[in-house]
Amino acid sequence: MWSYLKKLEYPVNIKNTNPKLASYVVAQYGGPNGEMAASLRYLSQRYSMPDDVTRAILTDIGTEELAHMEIVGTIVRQLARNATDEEIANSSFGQYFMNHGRGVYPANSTGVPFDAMALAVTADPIADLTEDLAAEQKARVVYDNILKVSDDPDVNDVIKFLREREIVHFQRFGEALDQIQNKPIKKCYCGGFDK
Amino acid sequence: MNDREALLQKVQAFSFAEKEWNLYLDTHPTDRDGLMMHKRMADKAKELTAEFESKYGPLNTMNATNPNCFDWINSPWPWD
Repeated sequence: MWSYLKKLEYPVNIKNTNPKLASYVVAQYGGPNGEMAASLRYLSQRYSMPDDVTRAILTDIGTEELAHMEIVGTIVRQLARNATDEEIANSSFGQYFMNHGRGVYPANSTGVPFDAMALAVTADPIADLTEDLAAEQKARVVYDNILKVSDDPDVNDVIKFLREREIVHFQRFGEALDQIQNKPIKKCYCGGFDK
Repeated sequence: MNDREALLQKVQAFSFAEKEWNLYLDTHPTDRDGLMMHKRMADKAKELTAEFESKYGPLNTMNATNPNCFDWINSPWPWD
């Protein structure tokens, strides 16, 4: 199970209203390379992983992705919550606003709702971990794209943190893949019993 | 930044450091330096979390023990 902590993993304090930027950043909430897809991907793939390293890393990174979803949702909300009707109507947030107001809905930046087709579970650890490596790079690219179009320092500070996390997760998934490909399967590392 | 935010930022920093060593140890479970650093970050995160909760209210329902009011529901929430 999970236990909720009433804090963000990284502080978010957006001072400037910017509904256009909110409509871009929501891509990392409900888009195909976003944090919802990441957490569902890893937390679903972990059941069929072969050893303790792969089970642990998918559980723990999947859990961190839930925290990232909350960070991205917070950015979207803080960018949009004080926007006037006119500011919204004159921005790319206008179409999203018709159905979702100033709320946070899992959609991509063009308004298409979240779709589990964005992720795969094959139950083959090589295939699944290789997908996870690609997923981290695709998420990193979206954060790069946000940094290209955003000049808000409060937003960019948080986006840079999230971007770095994609790189660390890529590293850890690479190590997990390497150890199942290149070492004999060792189910237990800490003095328990191999089943 | 007020006192609450400053202390929360310390909690966030050490909790994040714990998480980072957690991920490292998942793929390096017998690394002695990693085990030591993880314990150091976890101890500090627990200590700062207890200090924060005693001053500003619970971050987790397990620590919502005020007998007069369920102060878990109190703002601010993380997105406020």
